[in-house]
Amino acid sequence: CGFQMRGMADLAFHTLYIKNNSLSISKSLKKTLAVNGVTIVNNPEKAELMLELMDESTQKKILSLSGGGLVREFEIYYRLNFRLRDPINELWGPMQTLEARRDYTYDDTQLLAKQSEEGALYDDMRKDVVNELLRRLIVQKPKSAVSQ
Amino acid sequence: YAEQTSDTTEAIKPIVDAETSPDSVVIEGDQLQIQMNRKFKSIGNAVLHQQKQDIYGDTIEYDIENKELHAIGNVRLITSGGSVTGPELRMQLEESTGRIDDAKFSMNKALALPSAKSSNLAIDQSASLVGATQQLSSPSNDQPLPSASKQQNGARGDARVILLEGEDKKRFKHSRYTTCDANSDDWYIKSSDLVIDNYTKTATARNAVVEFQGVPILYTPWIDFSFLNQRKSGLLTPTVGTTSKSGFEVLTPFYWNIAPNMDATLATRYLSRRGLQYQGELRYVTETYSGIDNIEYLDNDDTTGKARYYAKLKHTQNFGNGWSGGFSVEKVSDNQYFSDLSTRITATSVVNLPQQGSLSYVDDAWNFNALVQKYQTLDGVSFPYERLPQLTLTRNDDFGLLSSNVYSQWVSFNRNSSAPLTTLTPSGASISTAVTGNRFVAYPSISLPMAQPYGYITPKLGVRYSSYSLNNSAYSVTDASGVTTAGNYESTSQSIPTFTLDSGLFFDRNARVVNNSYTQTLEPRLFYVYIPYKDQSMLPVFDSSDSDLNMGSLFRENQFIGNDRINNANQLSLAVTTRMIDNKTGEQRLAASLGQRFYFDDQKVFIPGTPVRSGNSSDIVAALTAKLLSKWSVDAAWQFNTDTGKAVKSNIGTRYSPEPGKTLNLSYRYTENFLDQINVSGQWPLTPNWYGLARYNYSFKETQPIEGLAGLEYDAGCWVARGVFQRVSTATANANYAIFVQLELGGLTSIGSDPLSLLNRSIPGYTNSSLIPNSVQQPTY
Repeated sequence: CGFQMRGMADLAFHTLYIKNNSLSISKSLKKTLAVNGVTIVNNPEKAELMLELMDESTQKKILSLSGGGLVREFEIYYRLNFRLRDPINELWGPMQTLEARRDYTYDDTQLLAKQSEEGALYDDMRKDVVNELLRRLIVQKPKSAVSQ
Repeated sequence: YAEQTSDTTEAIKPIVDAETSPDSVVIEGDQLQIQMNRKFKSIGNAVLHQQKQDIYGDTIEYDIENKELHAIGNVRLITSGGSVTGPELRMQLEESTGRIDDAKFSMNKALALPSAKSSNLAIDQSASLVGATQQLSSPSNDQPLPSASKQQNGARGDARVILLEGEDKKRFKHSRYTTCDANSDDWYIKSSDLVIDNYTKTATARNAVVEFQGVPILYTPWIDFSFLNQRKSGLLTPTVGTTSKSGFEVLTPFYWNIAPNMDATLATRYLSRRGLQYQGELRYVTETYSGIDNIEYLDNDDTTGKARYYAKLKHTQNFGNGWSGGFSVEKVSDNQYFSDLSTRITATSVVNLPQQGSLSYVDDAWNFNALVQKYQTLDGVSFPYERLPQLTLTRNDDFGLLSSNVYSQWVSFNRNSSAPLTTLTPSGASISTAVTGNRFVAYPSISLPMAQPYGYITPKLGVRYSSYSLNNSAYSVTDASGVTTAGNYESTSQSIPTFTLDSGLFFDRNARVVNNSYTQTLEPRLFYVYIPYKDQSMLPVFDSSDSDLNMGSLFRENQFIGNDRINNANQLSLAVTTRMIDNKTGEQRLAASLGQRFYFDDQKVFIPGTPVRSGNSSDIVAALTAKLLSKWSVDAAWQFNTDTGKAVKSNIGTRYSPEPGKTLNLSYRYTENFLDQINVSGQWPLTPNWYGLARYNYSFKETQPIEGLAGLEYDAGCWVARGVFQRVSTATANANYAIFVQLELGGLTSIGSDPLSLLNRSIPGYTNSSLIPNSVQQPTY
């Protein structure tokens, strides 16, 4: 059916500089990149691709109410804004947003447990966003890497 | 029109080349007279050009010595910001002072009212769910409106006198101002004195009356505008509405721009059935700390005869070197406060108001958190345990390939003194206990993550230690079938070893759909857990419950949330995910997952009052999320019980949004014994001017509506009128009904109640029709 084990072969760059590497996902992003053959460099001049982690945010919304007006489900979001730059270019590319969403059932009689569940779902979403960020990165074909 | 006159110009006598100097003057006209080399008189299609402005007239007299100009007949003064026309202009060019009587004006950019909402005070509101109960300046949890304002067509008006007071300042005496087209007199702001300062980009009107269709609807002794949506102190537009609980109401807010990083909104809110309420909100933000404080106070409620208040103080601080902290304290005077005084479901659904403070430390290895937390409980039943305090410390290390983690937590659980002894669980059982106490948990573990681009495998070994020291340890549990067990919780400790093996593979293939090239992934995942059985029935439940079953919890070693119970496990979770990823951008277009857990041992550990699982496999869970052609999006999740053959959970939501102003949402959410409801909402143009808005949320489980909203929006180009009727169920009282009427004058913020945040929440994808580009009333030039 055409499926093949994923490899590193298609990766067009091998060194990455990360600007503002202090978000909650930074540590797991580093590990994920290392596994996929990308080395993080501290000097932007030695990088074949530059990534700026601009900011991250969370949001919690009421998803459904009971007939009596009590919250029955919440939905939560984790969003990451980032942008990329080919070191050949003077300017950063447009801001891109990654968003993960989860929902969970809620009951006020289980408030403390639901707080922990929410925390666990945020962790799941961060993992998802790291993987999606990786997918956005590996399709990049920076000119500075191609020319080398 | 400027071109027309210049075509007929015959005599062109440049005095100085206008390109070279900003002060240079060029005079043109059909006929030019020069008097004693100091006075020029241009007769017939006269024009005076300067770099910053052009002045046209039938006749222009210009005195070089005094730089005085006198234009007569069909006078037009044109600058980069707009134009002024009138029968006669006297002007001193050097000082840029002058006067035009009976003038008309047009501006390229309309004025805007100061807006607290557009302020750049970036305070994260997402953590809190209780906002101010009325639409003060509090940003709601709802999605913000698109920040781009309508492409303004500028503004126009007339004045009895326009005084030019320097290069950037104009004063309009007895003026009318509107953003409507020249052939429309739908609305005006009339003011006795309007000063527009192009340098500070602000304008102030005194004795201002807003007239709509010739009817004065608002008077204000003064009103401030800003061209750039800058924050500026001043009156905000008042709010008018009526609700079934409090009657007719008027909210009059005043915005106070205290400093670049601090602002306040003060308001009085008159409620016909209750009296006068005072509201205040203070927001501040710096590099290291930020906060928001809300106070609402109603001295003597005419209905209840009591003082009523709401207070929320919230502060977060970054101490540096990894340390941060903050507090959030909320309190209301009485349990009915929100249901009586608010129509926002973020407030009316609130049962527990947090009163908490925390201190945290994070570095590469350590993570520390101290929390003190209590709640004000409004329903008299759902009292959470107070954590006074909870201390959590974790450490993470990598030793070559090995990774170690130590999690530890100490909590002192307290009961609220008003909490009832007997509580009902969601599954219908009841538990009676007054137990309190301290709990210590430690969970050291080591794992060996081995990863390659094509897959990973991670074995992990750990020991969960917990220890309880309890007071008032007697309990009795009556399950849903009426069987009662009684006993005493034990102050005891125990250790439970855990073993997990997590593994996954990634396969890719290329796929073409229409003309787009995608990578389709196939990601099988396998997760094995072994945890031996330890009797935990003698332990209380302070902060734990069953977890929802979903793609996340399927791969957690403990099916319980919280630290009071560890499941006995000899089980395997299997799941497969497939994604469609755009090869050009790496964007995920579609993701679908299917998973199930298989049990090799029976469930022996459970939360009292919850049903024990039967069968040797979990429900099957499936999830689908897709964004198609950026018009359609679908989000769906199912949970099937393979034993009963019934759906335990079935959620499907879809949105069709072909363009701004056209949005339809349809969702159905079902969870066995918990939730069964349908939600329809949308915004759609009915005619080129009329938009229909509706939301209907109906619970089949309780056979009653939850939220209903119906509205009509009329977009006349330079104004939008909107009427919204709303019914909202409240957590602590009967349903509340509200009517909002809103008039939005082009370029100005709205007058009347602000249902926009309501519409944004109620109708996902809602776009204010005045922001919809290419709407029919948008004049095109």
